Amino acid sequence: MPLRLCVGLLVNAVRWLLILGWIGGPLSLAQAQAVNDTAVKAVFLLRFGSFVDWPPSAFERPDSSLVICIAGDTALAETVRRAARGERAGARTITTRWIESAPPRTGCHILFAGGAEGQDVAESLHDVSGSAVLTVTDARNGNARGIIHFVISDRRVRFHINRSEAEQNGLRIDSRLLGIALSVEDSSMRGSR
Amino acid sequence: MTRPFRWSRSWDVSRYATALAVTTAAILLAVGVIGAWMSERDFRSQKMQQAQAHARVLAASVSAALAFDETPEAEQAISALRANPEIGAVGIYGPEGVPFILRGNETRDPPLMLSEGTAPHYDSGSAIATAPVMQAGQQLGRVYVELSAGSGPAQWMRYVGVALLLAMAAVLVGAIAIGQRSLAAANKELARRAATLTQANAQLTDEMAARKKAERALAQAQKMEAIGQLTGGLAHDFNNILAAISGGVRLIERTGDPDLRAQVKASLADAIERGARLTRQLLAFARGQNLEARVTDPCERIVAMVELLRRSLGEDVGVDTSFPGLR
Repeated sequence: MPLRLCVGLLVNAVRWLLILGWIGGPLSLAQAQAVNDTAVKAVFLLRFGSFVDWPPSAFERPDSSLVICIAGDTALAETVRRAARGERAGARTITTRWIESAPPRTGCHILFAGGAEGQDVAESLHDVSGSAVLTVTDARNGNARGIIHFVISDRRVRFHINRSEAEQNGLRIDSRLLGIALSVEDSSMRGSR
Repeated sequence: MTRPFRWSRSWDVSRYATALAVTTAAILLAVGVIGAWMSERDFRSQKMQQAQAHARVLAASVSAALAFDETPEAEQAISALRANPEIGAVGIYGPEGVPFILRGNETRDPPLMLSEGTAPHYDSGSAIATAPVMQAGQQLGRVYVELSAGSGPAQWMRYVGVALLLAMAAVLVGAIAIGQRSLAAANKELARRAATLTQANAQLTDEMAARKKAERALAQAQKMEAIGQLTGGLAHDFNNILAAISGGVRLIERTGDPDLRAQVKASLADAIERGARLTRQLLAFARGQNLEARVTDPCERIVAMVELLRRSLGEDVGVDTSFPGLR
């Protein structure tokens, strides 16, 4: 038993070393996958921007930064902040923002609703509903679902997509992203992959 | 002998024909090789374009799979692409050429690292192309696609046209060479026969001349023989006449008997007359004397001629006369 504990600690230490090493260098998903789910989710959050079209009104200027807001989950927020260095979503640079309390109605393009202080996930989602925000939730934080909902499937980070809600928010999701989702909830037809 | 000249001229013409055929065959060969080279070049560039198109399609369909590490999705895209049997090795690479999925076949594996500047190229029967995986103007990685240009028979089938052309040129040259050779042999044979014929002709002419000469000599000899017989007979006749004359003269000298003398004189006159007659006959025979028109008895003349004939024809030829109704 103590041996297993030791090994577990060692593995964890190696993982974190790897994370730090990876964050310093270029982004490698395979490396991230090998390290832990948080790193994978961070990379996913950074990459969603390339597969989603926001309405032009969501940005002040055509080359304004894409703002990723992370509510609650500090570990994720930190990982994303480090990983976002030098990352782009198309022509836009990526800015990350950690939100402690209720998220603002504007300013965020991607909102990871991790349950901020004094506000649960559902409330966060409700606050931004109808505005051009790609909401992301995690099965780890409850059953409330945003447009993208992270789950662990076959020991890998995967996600569901709610396309109808995205459309309601004025977002267009690339069909290739829909193609790799575990399921796509649609207003016209309810399909599951 | 103008023939050898003709032969040599026709031989020159055939030599020109050979040169022309060889030149034509060489031109055909050159055209074939250039044609093959151009068609191969076109084929390769077409294959490279196809490979590039496949690479672009694959790159466009795997961006999300590459971005979110969805191996099954990328596998599906690769399987769909490899439904085309021409597609060989396929690779999907992340940033900086790090492999994401590599699928090789029995002949080739995709490279373990894909360098950024891999231009489309042609490598041992395969067109190889790469394409960047782009999403929203950002490069997520690259794909590598190998398009086989057809192996073995399919590859060789492309050269069949050229091979046929070459074979035709070879057959043409061969046929011309064989034709020329047999023509030359026939010409040589013909010349040989003509020479033989000329020789035979000359021999024949010589033989004919010799024969003519021999015939002339024979005719001369026969003529001489006839003259000999004739002169022999005549000499005998003259000898008889001369003997009669000489005997008569001697008898006249010895005898004093006037009767006998008159008889001998008459006999002498007769002998002289016979001599004169013989001379006349000879002259008439030689047509040296104009014939005298007078009344004559043909029977008497024939009888007189019999003696001459007997002497000139010799003893082995008998001469009979008969004059039915005249005596």
